[in-house]
Amino acid sequence: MQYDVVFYGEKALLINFKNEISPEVHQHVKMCYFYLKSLKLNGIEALIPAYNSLTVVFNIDKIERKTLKVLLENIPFEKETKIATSSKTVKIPVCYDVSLGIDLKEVSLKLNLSISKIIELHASKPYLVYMLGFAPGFMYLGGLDKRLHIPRKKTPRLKIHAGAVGLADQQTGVYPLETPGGWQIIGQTPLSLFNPKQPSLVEMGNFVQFVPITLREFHQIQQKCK
Amino acid sequence: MQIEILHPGLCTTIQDEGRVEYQDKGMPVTGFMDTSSACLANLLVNNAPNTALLEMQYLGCKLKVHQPTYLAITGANMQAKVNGECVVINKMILIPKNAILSFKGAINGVYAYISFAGGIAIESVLGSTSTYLPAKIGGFKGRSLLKGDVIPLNNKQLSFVNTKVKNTIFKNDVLLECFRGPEWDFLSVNSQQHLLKNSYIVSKDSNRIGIRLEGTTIELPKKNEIISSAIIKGTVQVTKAGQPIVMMVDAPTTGGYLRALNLSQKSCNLLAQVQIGGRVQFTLINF
Repeated sequence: MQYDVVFYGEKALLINFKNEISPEVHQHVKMCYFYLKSLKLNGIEALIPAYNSLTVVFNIDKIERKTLKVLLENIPFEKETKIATSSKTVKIPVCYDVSLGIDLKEVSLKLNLSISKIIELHASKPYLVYMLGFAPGFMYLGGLDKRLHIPRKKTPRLKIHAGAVGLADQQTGVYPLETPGGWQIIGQTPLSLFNPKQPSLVEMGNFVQFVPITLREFHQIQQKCK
Repeated sequence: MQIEILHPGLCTTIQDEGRVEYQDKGMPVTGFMDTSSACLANLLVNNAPNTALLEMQYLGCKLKVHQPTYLAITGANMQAKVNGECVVINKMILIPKNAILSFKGAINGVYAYISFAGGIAIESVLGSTSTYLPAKIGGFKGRSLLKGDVIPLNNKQLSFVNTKVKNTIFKNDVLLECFRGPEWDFLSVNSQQHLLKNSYIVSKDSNRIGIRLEGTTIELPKKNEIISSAIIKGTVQVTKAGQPIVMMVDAPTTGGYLRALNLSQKSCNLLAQVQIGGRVQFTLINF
């Protein structure tokens, strides 16, 4: 496993892995993230994993910067592979009704695919959660079928409902909060991807499987979640 | 013990030191914008540094205390008055029963703090009482305060702290100490010099997420984005438009712009207090 460790501001160190987005590099990030988490080192305040990096935020009163750097450079991560085994699949119900998937018709025209084919492709396989970021509970998912690649909307919407499922370039994802946004919306999940008791349904390294549901089931689950 | 908001000011929220441990779930740290002034406010009333207090932005609030209340005001000078009479700031003071504490616009600085001896009695959400407006969590009902809100305070046996700390005059022309950021070397030597030699103006689009700076455009390399990676408080990103943004407490946990510099914690506090239109300049320091 190749990586380097650099200083990142006064109170963080940045571990950079190979400069690419790939399941292999993700495995390395995941391994380091779960290993460091399991160590529960006194003075480490946060770990922020990303596609090909892991940021370690520490308390400058508790850990000396250079000591931590040496430690991170010499941890035998590869011997600790057993730590990084969490590859559970989280099922996320999605209603692809056109009343919720407000861009489905447009996406269907632009991609020259029927709506049922779009749904079939989108829910056909699990997606790897590379990382969470951008907003609380937002998942960066990998593995979207090439046939579903579509540019963002030219003008972002001012308001997108929490739970909206969208497409943007090579990505698919779910809006955890009501925000402005430019993704093509193809459906909605009744689940909260962010709530104050549980900042996220999933964690990096999990897989997400979208499960199509009817509008009726959508409302039933939504009622239950309230 | 409680206080009642008569006028909320521009944006008054409950904050503490924030929540650090959920950044892997995409949750921003949130918390005090000017940690130094906020912790001073807590220290002056014998509270722990992480105690929940009120943070006011540019235009202060007006509130009524229902019982005699010990508090301290720090940060931006918002012309604090009790029942219309000027009061001393940066010192623990006693506000009599039913008195009205009022503030105006900031003469200098941006963020002012009111700490109450014993703190605000409010529940933590994800380990912190800090208000995070985009997710409507923390603080008082997850929002900024409104007229008519009644905020409960903790009762506390008091030992009066009779210390007056010299007032800080926040400047609108500051030098920001920075470390080289992770992508510093992506910039050409010319661009690096450009970033350090020129001064930048604090844009009106600045907020708790980030302080946007405006100045002459920094020329970017062809590779002007990175694979999304962590952002922390004080990270200076250079946008595709060639303008720097200093990420602050409500910033997203990850981003894809080049991270050219990182402000020291001290400089983050200084910058938080620079008003719109104020001038800043970066200067490199080493660890």
